[in-house]
Amino acid sequence: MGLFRLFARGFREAFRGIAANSVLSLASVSTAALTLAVLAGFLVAAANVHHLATVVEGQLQVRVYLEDGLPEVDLRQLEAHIAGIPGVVGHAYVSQEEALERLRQYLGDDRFILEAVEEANPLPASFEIDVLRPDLVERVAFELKDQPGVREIRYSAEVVRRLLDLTNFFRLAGLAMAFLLTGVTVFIIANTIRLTVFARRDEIAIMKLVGATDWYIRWPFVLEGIVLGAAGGGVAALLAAGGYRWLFRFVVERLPFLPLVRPEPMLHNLTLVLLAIGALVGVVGSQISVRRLLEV
Amino acid sequence: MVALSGVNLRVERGEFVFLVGASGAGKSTLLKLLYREETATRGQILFNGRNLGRLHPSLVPHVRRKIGVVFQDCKLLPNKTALENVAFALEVTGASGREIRRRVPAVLELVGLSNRLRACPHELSSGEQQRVALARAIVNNPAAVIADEPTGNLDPDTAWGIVGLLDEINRRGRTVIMATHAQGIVNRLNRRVVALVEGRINRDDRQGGYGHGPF
Repeated sequence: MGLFRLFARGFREAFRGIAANSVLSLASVSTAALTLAVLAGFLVAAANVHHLATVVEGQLQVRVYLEDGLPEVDLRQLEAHIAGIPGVVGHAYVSQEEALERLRQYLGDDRFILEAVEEANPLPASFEIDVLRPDLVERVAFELKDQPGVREIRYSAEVVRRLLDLTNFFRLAGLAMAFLLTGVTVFIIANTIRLTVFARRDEIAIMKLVGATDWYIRWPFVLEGIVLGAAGGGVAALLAAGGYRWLFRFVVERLPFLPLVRPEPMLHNLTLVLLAIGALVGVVGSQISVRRLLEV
Repeated sequence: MVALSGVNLRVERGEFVFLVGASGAGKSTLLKLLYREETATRGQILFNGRNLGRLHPSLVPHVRRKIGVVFQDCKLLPNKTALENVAFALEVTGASGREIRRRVPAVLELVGLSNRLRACPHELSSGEQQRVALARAIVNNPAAVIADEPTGNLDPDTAWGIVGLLDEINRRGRTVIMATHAQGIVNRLNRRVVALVEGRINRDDRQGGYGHGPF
């Protein structure tokens, strides 16, 4: 049989089944959407905390903010001192202009926020110092604390550790919730499809009798499951995307220095993940409802 | 509960066999074993040299396509026309559209329903419904046709029409095995008769009747 005909028939039958049980199908899609949206929430939270951790870790090593208008001589002297501290493997000077340019890049479309500060750049110049090992960070910081021209020192090994713990928590909690809720979704999809199977039991009996293959009989039900699950995934993705875009704008406008993961391409990937999980949930649900009825 | 035991039966290609016996004697069970609706707990059932009991589940559909089955209650799909009911059997085996358009009207003509193609089962008489079921059973060009009391719901004349068709199908080279209570039909057709009593073969006559024995 042509693959196209097989697909066409499968989809026709699948949509027939969905239309016949429209109320339960809607319930299935809603449940799938809700559970997958919850999962999406956890995934987005985990991604952001992890992002925050890497941002902090990147800055981590040690960042020395300088006083404004530091003379060139003092700058050179400080730089030489930094290079001489044991454990320092590299350092880079970031001027005030560079600091502003970086922020502008980070803000992307929202860079208009900076228009007000273009005239008087409030960002300090700094040295970014890479340290060999995390345990050397505090010593490097201590060495530089009282140097002339140093305004502030930031390092955050402890913060990174906590953030990574939090990331793991979000991932585990998300996974646990996902398992639980996915179970519920599978159950509801399985029941919806069971109704379709039941409505067509005579047809199925005859199909078996005249020699339709198991897969030929199953295929429309599996497709029905995939359609229900993926529809749920799609709705969840829309909810997640809308919600996150709103949150991102909200945060960028009010707390522009909080490093959130940019919506793209994260939401794009999230959508694919949600659709795939939804479809998978549908496949599992349909298999459960079809398996028993098709035992020859 | 044991439905059948010690049954040893060999049916040659092209034979016509009546399976007779009281209700509960095991006729339906024996037929179900033949089209692999049931599997035997002991012993073996060979179809075209293939052991049905050891058949891999994925091969069952392919054996079923070589065996047409007809029941007392026809088992037609009520919302499909005669044409669609027969075409359905070809569709699910993956036949092409052209093949379906060629073969379906031909078998419906063979069973004498050329003028009833668009009728749904509820618009057909019991006899016509059984003819559609017969057409469906043979549309795949099976090696054997198994009929489980196909005339059970029909008046004698209509029943005779169905048996005549089975006879015709048999003359065209297909093996026919028919379970029945109808003495008149068995006696008049004078074919091989296998009688079951309480799950055992009680009699196997090459050309026999029904009703003179120990029943």
